[in-house]
Amino acid sequence: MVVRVSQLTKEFKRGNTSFFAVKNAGLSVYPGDFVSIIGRSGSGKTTLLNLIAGLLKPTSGSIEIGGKDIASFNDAEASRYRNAIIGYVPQGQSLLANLTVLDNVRLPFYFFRREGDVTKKAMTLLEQVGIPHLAHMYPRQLSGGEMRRVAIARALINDPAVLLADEPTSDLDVQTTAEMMKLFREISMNGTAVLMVTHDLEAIHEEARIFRMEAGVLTGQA
Amino acid sequence: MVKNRLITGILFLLLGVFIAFGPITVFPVCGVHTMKETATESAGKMDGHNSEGSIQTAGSTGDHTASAAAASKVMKCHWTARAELGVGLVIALLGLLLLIFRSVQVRIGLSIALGLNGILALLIPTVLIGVCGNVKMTCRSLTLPVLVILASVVTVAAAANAFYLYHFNRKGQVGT
Amino acid sequence: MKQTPLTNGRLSFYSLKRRPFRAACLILIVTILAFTLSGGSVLTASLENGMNSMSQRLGADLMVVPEGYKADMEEVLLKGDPCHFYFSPTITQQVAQIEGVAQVTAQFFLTSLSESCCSAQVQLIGFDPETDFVIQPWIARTYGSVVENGVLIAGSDIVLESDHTLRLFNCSYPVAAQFEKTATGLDSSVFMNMDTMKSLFVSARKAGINFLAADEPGGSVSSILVKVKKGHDPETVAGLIKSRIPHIDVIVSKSMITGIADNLGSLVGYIRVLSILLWVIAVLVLTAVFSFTINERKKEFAVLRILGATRKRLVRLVLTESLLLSVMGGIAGTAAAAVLVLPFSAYIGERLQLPYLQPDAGVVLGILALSLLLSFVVGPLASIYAAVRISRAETYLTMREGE
Repeated sequence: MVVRVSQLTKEFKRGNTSFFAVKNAGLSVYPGDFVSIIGRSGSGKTTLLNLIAGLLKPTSGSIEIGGKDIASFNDAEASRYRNAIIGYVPQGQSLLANLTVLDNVRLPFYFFRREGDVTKKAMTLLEQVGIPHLAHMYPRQLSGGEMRRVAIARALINDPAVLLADEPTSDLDVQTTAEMMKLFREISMNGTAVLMVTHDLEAIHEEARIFRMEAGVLTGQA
Repeated sequence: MVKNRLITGILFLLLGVFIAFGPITVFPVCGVHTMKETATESAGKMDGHNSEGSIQTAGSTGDHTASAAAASKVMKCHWTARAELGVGLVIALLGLLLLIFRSVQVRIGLSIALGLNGILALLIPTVLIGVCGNVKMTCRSLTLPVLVILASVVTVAAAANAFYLYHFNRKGQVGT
Repeated sequence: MKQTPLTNGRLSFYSLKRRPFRAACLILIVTILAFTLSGGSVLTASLENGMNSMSQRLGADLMVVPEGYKADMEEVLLKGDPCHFYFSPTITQQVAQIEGVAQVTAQFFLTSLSESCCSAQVQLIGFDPETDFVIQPWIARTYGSVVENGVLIAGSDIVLESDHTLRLFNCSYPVAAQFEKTATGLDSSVFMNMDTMKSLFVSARKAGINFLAADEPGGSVSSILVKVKKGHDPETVAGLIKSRIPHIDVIVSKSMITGIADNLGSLVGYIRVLSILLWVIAVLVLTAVFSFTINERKKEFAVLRILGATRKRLVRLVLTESLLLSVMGGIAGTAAAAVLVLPFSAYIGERLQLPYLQPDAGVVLGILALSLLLSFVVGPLASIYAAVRISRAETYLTMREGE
């Protein structure tokens, strides 16, 4: 599965003025890829990520997954796409406080009819991210880094083709940031493409493909 | 566990108090209002005029059973109230003990005792002693249903508590 | 490791569990509503049922009684408070001759005693089998044949001895049948033909009881029941009777009933208005609360959208949560009403001083089921606006709001 972004543009209207958050962006993500998009706040990198995730509709251009343009999806198709093809790790705290860590990880599995032992898979993922012992804790009992790991495990529960991460290390210390990057690299080596956006220069892995985003314009390796 | 002690203890204490003192106060039986009419009063009433329908006030009637009938006729609902006073106090006391004792085993035993007393409290106004036959008497229309409801609540709550404590005990957690 | 699937129901339950106080308050609102709906409905149905029963049972259009005993007669009819009064039987013929009178029949009253000679103190009513048109049709329905001598028919509230008899003035009389409940005073009355009444009178005498004003049945009557000819106004005929015959009072059944019906109508009206008002208030309060609380959970819903929840799923989640609340409240309230209203039917009727007849079990269950349904609907109805709003929210913007 390849994600192919071509001439992607997103225009926002703010009162009487309009501005382009993303201008003619082009990008391809291959299986096992590890892509980092760096840029300052307001550069449009998060908008680009959300466009790829199908959370926003582009003004023009296309986003093709396996040959299909996701801009044409209706709500049900877009939801299914987000549930099965994409794994999204949102910025900040995104766990559901009512659910245990294990239930948080299992949650996306139940949105569409599926077969399989999700609990076993969830435990395996928690082991992969290094926190199996926290399975029955609640998010309020976890540290920032631990919560981020849970979010990553949750994003992987449906074996997505691409893992999208929005500022995954923004509220973590240097040590945890390094561990997080190592984890992402492992994930990409397992076959899941990883696409992350960040403004943190520490959060760059040497093996990642680097892109830069500035005022809506994406530059770098194509 | 503290929550369980508190809730169950207070619950049974209150239920016991209601069962004990209710039939004498808020939902009284007939026997409480003793018949005060004298024979002459009631004989006069029979004189071609209507007599008071309520048994509560008509003690004796007619001129033949003069003084003897002046005394109150005690109905069986009076004895029901007496018996429920006893059982109710026992239930209240057991509730108090539930509040005090921490041992889960002891509390299981107390719950069983409460359940049995609940059944007794249920049987007294229905089978063992009973209340007045007339549907219009408050002992039948009010006291009886209230006692049945309260006694049933005691029995069911006691059984539920016993089960809950039993399973809690089995889980191996240390009782508070 | 088998774990339960995270269905909408489960997610809703966890969500409620996390805010127990808020959930408890909302459930309480629905509980109060359900209680009022169920209890109020059973109450009004019983009152209306009692009213209908009374209208049907009274049978006669007019009742003639000795002067001054109008109130007592009404007490007998409404509450069954035993009493007795007498006047001359010749009045029966006099009444029969008044224009507009179709049929007349006389009744004789006695009261038993709450003494050892009698099972209980009840109203005893003797009727004339030849002329009676009120009680016999009734008996025919319940008993099927004519009431023989020495046999009694008892009202529903009379408690019989274990051998299906009643002891009256030291004699045991078999009770052939009991009427079904009518919510009138006739439930605590015992009926017999005049011959039986005569022998009872003799037994009373033997036991030393002197119903002083009465010589013997046949020598006096207690009340005369009148059926008015078609086309004649009962009030007019009553006026005629009163003007022609001295020392009597006349009760017009319809007026008596109308008076009671008015009281009943007011009470029923109040209960209905209260129920509707409460239902509306419950919906409004719940709508406000849901609107507020779902607003504060915008981020939670945004995350669900990101993870792939469809808009429909979000709506269903919110509706499930509110349905859970109303189901719990509805069941609690209806159960409470069932426990507090149904067993106390006799007591409530007594206290309201109105004819009160609880409908059959089937009808009661139907009433409770309907009230339950109306309570269940409150939650989803209140949350639908918030549910649709949250599903329409632009996920991207909602997420950014959190930053």
